[in-house]
Amino acid sequence: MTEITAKSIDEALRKQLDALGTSVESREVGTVIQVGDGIARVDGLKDAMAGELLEFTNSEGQTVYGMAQNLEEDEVGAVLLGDVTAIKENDTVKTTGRLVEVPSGREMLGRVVNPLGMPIDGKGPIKADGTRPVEFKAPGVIYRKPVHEPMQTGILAVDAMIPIGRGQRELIIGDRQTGKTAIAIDAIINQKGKDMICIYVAIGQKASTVAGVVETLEKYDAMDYTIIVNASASDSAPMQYIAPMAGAAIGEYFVYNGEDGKPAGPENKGRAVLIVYDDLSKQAVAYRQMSLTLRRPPGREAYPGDIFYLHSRLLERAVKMSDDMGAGSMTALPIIETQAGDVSAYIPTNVISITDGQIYLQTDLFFQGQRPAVDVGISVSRVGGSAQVKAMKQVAGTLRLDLASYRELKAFTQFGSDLDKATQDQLNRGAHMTELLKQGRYNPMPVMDQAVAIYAGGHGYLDSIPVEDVVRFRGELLNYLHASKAEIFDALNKEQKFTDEIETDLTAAIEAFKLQFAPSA
Amino acid sequence: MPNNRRIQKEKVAAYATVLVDSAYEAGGQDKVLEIRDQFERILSVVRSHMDLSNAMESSSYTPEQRKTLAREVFAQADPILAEVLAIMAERGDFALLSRVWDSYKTELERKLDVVVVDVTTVVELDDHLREVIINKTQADLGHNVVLREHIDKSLLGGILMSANGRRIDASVVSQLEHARNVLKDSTDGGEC
Repeated sequence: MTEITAKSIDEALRKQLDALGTSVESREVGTVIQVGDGIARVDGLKDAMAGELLEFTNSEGQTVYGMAQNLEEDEVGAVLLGDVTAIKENDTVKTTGRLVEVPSGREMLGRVVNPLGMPIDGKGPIKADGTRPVEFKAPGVIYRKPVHEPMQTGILAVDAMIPIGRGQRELIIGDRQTGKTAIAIDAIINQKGKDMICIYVAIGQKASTVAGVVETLEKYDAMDYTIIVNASASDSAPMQYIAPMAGAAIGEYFVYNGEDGKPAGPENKGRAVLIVYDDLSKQAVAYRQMSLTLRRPPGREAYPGDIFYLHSRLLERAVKMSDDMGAGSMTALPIIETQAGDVSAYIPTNVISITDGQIYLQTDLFFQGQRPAVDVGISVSRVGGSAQVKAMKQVAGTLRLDLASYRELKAFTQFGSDLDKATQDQLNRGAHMTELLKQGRYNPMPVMDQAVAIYAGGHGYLDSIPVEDVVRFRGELLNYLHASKAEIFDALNKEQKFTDEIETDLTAAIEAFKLQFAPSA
Repeated sequence: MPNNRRIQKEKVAAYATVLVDSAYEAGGQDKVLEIRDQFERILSVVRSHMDLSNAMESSSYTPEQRKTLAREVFAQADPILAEVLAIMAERGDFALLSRVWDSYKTELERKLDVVVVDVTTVVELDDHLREVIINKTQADLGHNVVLREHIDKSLLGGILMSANGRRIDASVVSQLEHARNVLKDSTDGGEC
């Protein structure tokens, strides 16, 4: 252990003081003419920029930062980002000449920070590699390439039927308590060992809920590659408003820089990032509050006119960069909470139209025990198909159609009892396949395990198994195959598809296992 | 509404011009600068008293009541300034006070070619330092400079200058404050 002496303290202090910039700056100074609801109206800042960081100083010398929002003819409307009660009328405001920025860098991994990038986990200071602007223009067309690599969530229902690619924006939408956050957390847990940086942005949530998420991620060793940005319900509306953008800025550091921290390029690959915005409905509410107190005109549902642009410019920052730009990616999983399943409300329709697909969660399915409660009928992925591994494509190709016809038949047969054999078989298959999609929390499945499970179901090996045993059968089958027929997975991982040889071996193995499987009833 | 904005702009310019012209006629540059100082203090008082500014703008008082109120509140100010403020209150234009103040400063600079530079120090300036500051600021601003000197012991040392809404802070207290923030951030990460 290093010995702490007066000399070492003196040296440390001198080192830090030597690093102080003592240059004198000329700054524009204004005066607060009105303050309230976290908003300050400032007079005298004629050269302030939109989104500029402003420094408010009260009579006791306490400094609070704010962000210039409304640039009007004779005053500036600014939102306060810190202790709003510290600022009073007549306090001075200085421009800083820079836009709102957050620290970013590799040291942020494993940390919980507020939307200004300050640590809130009690683990000490973060030595950032630099800062990035909170508002950043998304890269243009020539810097991008189409989504082509998979971003597996480890959830069978999602990876099979709603595949997500790196750089995609996939919305998770549903009522409260339907498992939206659970899907996002499972997706983060599944990134272990896949060289993916994960960022979880909690907006307007209870601090205890966020603490629970941190604990879960720590338990599954997922915090090593995760950063949590938290603007809890007790934080001011401006903090909740900038949280998703701050998360995106922290993530962009990894997309635009290589592992060594230097700018990404053909020789220095950018990193893959997964960012979860939980949830954008609350950000929209915070922005509405901010806009109304800034006296911007209200529009539909009292949201300001630029609420669509707020979300579109945020989600446009999700990207798959071209090889020349380092091939980094940022995959976004925005979450939207609906009220009583109403997806035609303002914010849900906006975000649905912006994203590349949605995972729709149904309360009914959740309470029927279908968990994750993904409604595969109306959930889609518009670009993820080209990122799906071939083996999964082979087995999941018809799954969506089979399940759709199953639901249709099921609804129809509720009115009659006499069914022909073909219809009964189809219903039986559908019930088994639906059961197969059930999966516990924090239990992500590797993609080849998923492919094998669907292969077994799709080829009718589950049809004679009681429905209640399907999940147990799946688990035991996969254990059996990993223990006794590991070569099948080796071959699958090598070929990435079902060849005739693999199919022969797999069929034989499933049949052998089925003989020894004991149904519970 | 552009028309309304134009009218407001012209009103502001009219109040400021009347104020500068009347002051100049009454006592030349010194009077204009004296009214400027009073105007600055009045603006600060009005900004920090919400009730006062609300009363001056309130439509629940008659124009005559607002005028009387303004005359009584600003009775100790120069009669020219007090009268302009009373007319502003009477006509319901008191909300334009900040803009009139800006316009007054611009008018002062345009008509008299003078910029007022506020200089705050811990000890009184000597003639040599005064001359250095005037020469430097005149060269930087391109106008004649009038110094307004203030003494503030809380600066601890150094100098604080402000002109045209910009501030140059070379005071010891702000350097120490900056040092405090740097040391605080590097020890606790600015944790909140």
